Amino acid sequence: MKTVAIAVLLAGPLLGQVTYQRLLEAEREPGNWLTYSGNYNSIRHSRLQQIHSGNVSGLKLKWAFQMKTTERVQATPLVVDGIMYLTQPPNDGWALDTETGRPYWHYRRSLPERINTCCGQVNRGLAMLGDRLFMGTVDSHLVALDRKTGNLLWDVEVADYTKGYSLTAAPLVVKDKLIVGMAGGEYGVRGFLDAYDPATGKRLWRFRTIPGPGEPGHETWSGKSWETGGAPTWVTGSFDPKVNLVYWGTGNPAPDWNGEVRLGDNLYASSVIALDADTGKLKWYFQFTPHDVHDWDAVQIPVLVDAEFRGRQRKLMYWGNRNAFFYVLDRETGEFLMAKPFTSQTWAERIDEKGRPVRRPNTSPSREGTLVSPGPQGGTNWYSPSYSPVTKLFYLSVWEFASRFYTGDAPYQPGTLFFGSTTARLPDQPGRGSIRALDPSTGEIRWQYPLHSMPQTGLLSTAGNLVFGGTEEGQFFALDAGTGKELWRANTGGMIAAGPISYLSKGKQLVSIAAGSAIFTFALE
Amino acid sequence: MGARLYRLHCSECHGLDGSGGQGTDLTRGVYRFGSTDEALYRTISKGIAGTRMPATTLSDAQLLQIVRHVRLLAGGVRLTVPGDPAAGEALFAGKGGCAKCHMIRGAGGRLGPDLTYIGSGRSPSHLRASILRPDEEVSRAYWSVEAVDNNAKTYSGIRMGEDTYSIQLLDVNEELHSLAKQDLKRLVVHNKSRMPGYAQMLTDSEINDLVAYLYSLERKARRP
Repeated sequence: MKTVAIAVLLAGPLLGQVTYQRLLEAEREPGNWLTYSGNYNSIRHSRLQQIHSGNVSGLKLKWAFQMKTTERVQATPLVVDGIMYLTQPPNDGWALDTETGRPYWHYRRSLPERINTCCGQVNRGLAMLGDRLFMGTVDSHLVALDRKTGNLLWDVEVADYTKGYSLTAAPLVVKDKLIVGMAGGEYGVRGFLDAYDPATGKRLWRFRTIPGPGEPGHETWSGKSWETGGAPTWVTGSFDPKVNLVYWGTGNPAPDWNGEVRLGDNLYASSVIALDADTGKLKWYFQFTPHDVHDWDAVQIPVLVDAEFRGRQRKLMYWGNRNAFFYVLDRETGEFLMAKPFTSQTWAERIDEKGRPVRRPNTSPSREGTLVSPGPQGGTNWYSPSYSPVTKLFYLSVWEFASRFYTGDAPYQPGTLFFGSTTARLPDQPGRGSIRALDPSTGEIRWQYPLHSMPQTGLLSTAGNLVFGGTEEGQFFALDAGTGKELWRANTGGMIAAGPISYLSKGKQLVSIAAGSAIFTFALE
Repeated sequence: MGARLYRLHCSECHGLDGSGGQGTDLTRGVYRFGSTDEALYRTISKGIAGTRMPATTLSDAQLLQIVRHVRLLAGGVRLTVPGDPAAGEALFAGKGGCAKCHMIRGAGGRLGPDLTYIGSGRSPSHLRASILRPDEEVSRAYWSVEAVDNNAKTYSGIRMGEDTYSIQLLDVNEELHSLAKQDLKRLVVHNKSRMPGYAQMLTDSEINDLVAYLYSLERKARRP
């Protein structure tokens, strides 16, 4: 089978197949959506402009597809040559005709009775190479499906789900490898990022996000805390083929709110890691929140942009972090260039010239409770941001709220929650949300679109001068990318906690979004 | 009580002895949608979306009695079949031509059902009947389709889905199509299989070998 897969890579794509070359050149085919974030630089920008700020008010429902699930749909679909591939949580798969929304096939996966996931049995999507689709499962398996039938081609165990390991992120195909992140930071797992052979499911490399004895960074964990220190990799990363680096965010150290049992910076938790795509070796890292005690996972999507920064053309990485700061890094070296808050925060005086936060006193969790902003969900979270090369603005979903952080005992028991206490929101201050546009050269907020509730939506910018997103209450909206003015909205009736995509079906631009337990697709009349 | 409820509600599809038929072989004790008591209870209670397994309105007590009876049926029932699985595997890939249309562990064609775990879902007698008389029971997802569109382009394949306005099919070249019915000047859907009957193509001994091979394709137990 490996020979077949390689032959496909070399022979050039047949209709419906995805090759590495297509993934490399994904920006040249805006009619498709080939990876979780659309392409390797993860800017979530569509070059399509049939739908634009002048006609978006005429957007109408084309079709909706209802899934049979009670779990929250967080998936971004793939679209390849007129077929949409998406996941239904926990781990079913569907292939739909983009013109009608009618299904070709449905892959059903049976799961064990008891699954350890902190935050719902969710799945964020698929990866594709050749005729194969790849999905991680909440019982910590990786499966390959046939794109034409949904037949299961192989199924390998990645980790022991009974210990709290699970897979919820969409894998990322890089060259001839499948890069796979894992979840479980609330269960005292030891995080990793893996690469697998797409033909067989054989593991090719594993990078442990918590260094073991003798490895650099191991000294940043007191005692044996490294064994149960978390640092999962639960949101899909990015890839720069020119420097051959895979960039991936890491989650919180465990236990979340008791840092006393894991003294030190806790590398590489709450960081971005840059790994050699071929070997999985660490090239550089940058830790946004050393010794994180607020659950501020750095699982945001690395947004890769080549732009001038302070008079010099550079390969940059934009990062709206859960800790409330927007960062700009040099993605070749990991050099810190800039940080600025994009929402209310009370925990840091500033970020110093090396990128290390200077903490305000008395902001760590305490027995009596410490009020800190942002709360544990952060100033933003895993929700996909967007960058528009047209407006040169960075768009993200923003939360503005505070919580009381309590610390407590943290007994570790495999397969059980390992929080080290809890947090509590202020009942009289529910918080506010918004969509914000930042000037990434300065971090200044250029506009905001206020929301009643704190959003979990991913964002999509388009060459039609639009930004699409949604609300907790189910309104799917289009904003003017330059001003933030609302131009159109539709009520889907279900919570939006996924990223919108745009693509062509029979030459016509469509926009799709998951809401509630359904996926909705809109087109101009 | 469990046996009576089983006969009343389950045996039509799963067979009086649980050995399967239209429904899964229940005697194996390992099931695709979960093998614990809890999973069985859930499956019987809620059904399985997209399959023929319906939801029921039975009481909790009745459901538990059925679960217990299914456990009894699965109590070590292992049917002995004549035939050589290794010879059957060779037939599957060779003389029988089965792999042209059926996939096993990722290898094979797409126009017939995936058979990777068929031995966990079907009894030997059902497998034998399917090989000899494939038209006797054909899943709706494998009905044959012949269509001609308004440009005289023809499509021939299996029907993956259909509604009032469109039909989705996998053609004989294994390409997917979704066709609007208003764009078709001819559409014929047969509730027949594209698979030939093998009564004249294989000997009795070869049929035994093929059944033995397919019956050996079991789903391994998952951890509870």
